[in-house]
Amino acid sequence: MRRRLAMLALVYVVALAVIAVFSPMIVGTKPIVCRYKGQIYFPALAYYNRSWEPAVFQRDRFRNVYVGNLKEKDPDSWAIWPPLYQDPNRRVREGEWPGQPENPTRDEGSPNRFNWLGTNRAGVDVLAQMVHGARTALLVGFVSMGIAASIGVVVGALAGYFGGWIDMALSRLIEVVMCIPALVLILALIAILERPTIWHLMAVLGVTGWTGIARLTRAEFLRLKELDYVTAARALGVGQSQIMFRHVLRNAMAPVLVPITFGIASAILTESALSFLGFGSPPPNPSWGTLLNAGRSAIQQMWWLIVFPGIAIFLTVLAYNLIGEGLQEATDPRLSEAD
Amino acid sequence: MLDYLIRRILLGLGTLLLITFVVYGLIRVMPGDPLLVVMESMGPDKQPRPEDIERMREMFGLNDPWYVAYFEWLGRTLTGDLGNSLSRKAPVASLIAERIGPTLMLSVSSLLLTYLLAIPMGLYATARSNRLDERVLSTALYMLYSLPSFVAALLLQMLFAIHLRGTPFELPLFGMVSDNFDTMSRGEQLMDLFRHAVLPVTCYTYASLAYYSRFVRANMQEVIRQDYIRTARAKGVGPTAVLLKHAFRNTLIPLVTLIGLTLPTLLSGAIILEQIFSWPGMGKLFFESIRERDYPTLMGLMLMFSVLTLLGQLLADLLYAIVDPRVSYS
Repeated sequence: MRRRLAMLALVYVVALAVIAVFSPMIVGTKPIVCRYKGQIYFPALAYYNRSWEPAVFQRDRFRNVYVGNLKEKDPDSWAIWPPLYQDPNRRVREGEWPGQPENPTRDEGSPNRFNWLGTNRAGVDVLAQMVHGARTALLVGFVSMGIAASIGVVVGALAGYFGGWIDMALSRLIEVVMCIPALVLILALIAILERPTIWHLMAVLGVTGWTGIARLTRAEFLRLKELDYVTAARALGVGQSQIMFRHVLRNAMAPVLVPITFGIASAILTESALSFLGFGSPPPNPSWGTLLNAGRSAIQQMWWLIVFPGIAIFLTVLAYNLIGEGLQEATDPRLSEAD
Repeated sequence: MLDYLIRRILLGLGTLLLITFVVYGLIRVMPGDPLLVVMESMGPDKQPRPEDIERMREMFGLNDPWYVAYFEWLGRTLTGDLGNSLSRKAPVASLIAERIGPTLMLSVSSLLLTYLLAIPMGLYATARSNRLDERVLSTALYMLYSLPSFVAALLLQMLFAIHLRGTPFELPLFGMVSDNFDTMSRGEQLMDLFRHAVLPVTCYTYASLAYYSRFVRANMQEVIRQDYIRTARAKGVGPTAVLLKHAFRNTLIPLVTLIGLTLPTLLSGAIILEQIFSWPGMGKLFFESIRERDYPTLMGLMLMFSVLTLLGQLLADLLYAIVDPRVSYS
C-alpha cells in the first residue's frame, strides 16, 4: 500500500518534471520551430533564458507577437506552435490567434474555454503561469538541495570521519545554523541583496538547508568508519579523501538520500512561501507562490488564483514526502513490517 | 549531572554569542537603514535637515562599523537593556512584551489541542493497525501534513469568511478583535476573540497534529513488538489495558522530550500565519521590523528565539535523563 503510493508519487514527480522541462512547448506564444527568411529558428527557447531569443525577430520588430508577423514579413515562413496559445508573462490580445478572443482582465477572468484555469487581474493566463511555474519550482527544489547536499555531505563527512576538535567545531557550526530559525535567516539573507534573482534564492535556500543532511551524514560516518573494510582500505595505503568519499560515502548514501528528498519538498515549499510573502523570484519568473499572493489580495472574488496553485503546491510537496518516506522504509530495516 | 549542566550552559553561551554576532552582521548588511525607511514614508516637505539626520545617525550608532555597534549592543544587553526601537519610539522589551500575549494565545491553545487530539489518534491508529478505518485516518493525516499552512489558511478564509458570509458559521477574515471591541461587554469580547482565533488556531494545529499522531503511532509500533507486551497478552491482560498501561507508558519518553523541542515555536509564532491573519504577535513584529530595518527590535527577537531554541534542546536532553533512568550524563 505504502510502496504503491510512493510509486504513484514517483510517477507524478516524473510527469511534473517532463511538464517543467517542456513547458515552452506545451503552452506559449512563441513557435517551437519556425522557418523565417530561409533560416530555422527555435524562438520558444527564449522562455528558458531571455537572451536566447533569436536577434532577427527583435530587429524585425516582432514585439513578442509571432503569429501575424511571421506571415506578414515572410510569406514563405512556417511554424510549429505549442498546443495552447497563452503566455505566462503577458496578456494575449484580440486577434493574435485566429478565433481566440482577448484574455479577460480584473476579476472577470474565471476559468473558461480559452483560459482553462482563468486569468489574473492583468489578464495573464493562470494555466500558462502554472506550467511555467513548475519549472521554477523544480529548479529551486533540485538546485537548492544540490547545494545543501554538497555542503551537508562534506561537513558531515569531515566531522564524522575525523572526529576530535574538527567534529567539535563543525558540530558547533551545525548547531548555530540550526538555531537560527530558517525563515529568519532566509529573509535576512535575501534582504541583503539589492535585487534578488531566482538563482540567489536557490543559493540562500541551499546554504541554510544543509544541517539535517550534515547531521545524518556525520552519524553514518561515525558508524561506518569503524567497519573492517575501512581498516582494510587504510592498511592498503588508500588516501584519507579516497576512503572518505569513495568507500564510506557510497555506503552512507542510501540513508542520506532520505533527508535530501524531504529537503526538496521543503525547498519547494519555502520558495512558494517566500514568493507568497513577496520576497520570492522577481516578475519574469512565474511562480506558484506569486499566484497565491495575487489570489490573497483578491480573495473576495478570484478563487481560481488560490485553488489551482494551492493544489499544485500541495500535490508536489506530498509527492516528495511520499517518496522520502518510501526511501526511508527501504533503507531503514527497523521500519519494515517484520511481523 | 551538575558538571554536564555547567558544560552545556557554557557551550550554549558560546553558541549564543556566535549566533548574535552573525545575525547582527547580516542585519547590518541589509541595504537601507532605518532612517532611510522612515524618510521614504514621510512626505517630501517634511524631510529632516541634513544636520538632524547626521545627529540621528550618530545617536543610533549607524555611523559605527557593525562590529563596533555589535559590541555596544552586547554591552547594553548584558546589563538587561535591549535598547529602543528605532521606528516605533518605544523600548524593545515593552514592544516584545506587548506581542507575547497574542502569540502565546495562538501557540498554547494549538499545542494543547495537538496533544489532546494526537495521543488518542495515535493510540487508535495503533489499535486498529492495518484496518480500513486506520488507513483512511493515517492517509488523511499524512495529506494534512503535506498541506502548506498558508494554502490551508487561504482556503479556510475563502470558505468561512466569504462563502459562508451571512450564515452562523461566518468567521472574520483577519485581525484579532473587531473594530468595536472596546464597546463590547466582557462576554461579547471573549466571543469576539474566540471567533477571530478559530481559523489561525486551526491552521496552527493541523500540521503538528499530523506530525504528533504519526510520532505516537511510530513509537507505539516499536514498543508493541517487545516481549513484555507478548507476555502481558499471554497473561490475559485485555487489549485496552495492554495498549494504555503496558505500551503507551513506555512511549512517553520520546513524547516528553518532544515538549522541549517545541519550546521555541511557542514564542517564535508562525511568521506566515500571523502575516496572513494580521495577528499582532511576535511573527508579525519580526516581519515588520525587517521591513523597517529596525535593528534593535530584530536583535531582541533573534536573541529571544535563539535562547529559547538552545534552552529547548537542553531541556529535551535533561528531560530525557529524568524520564529514562538508563540515560545519565555523569
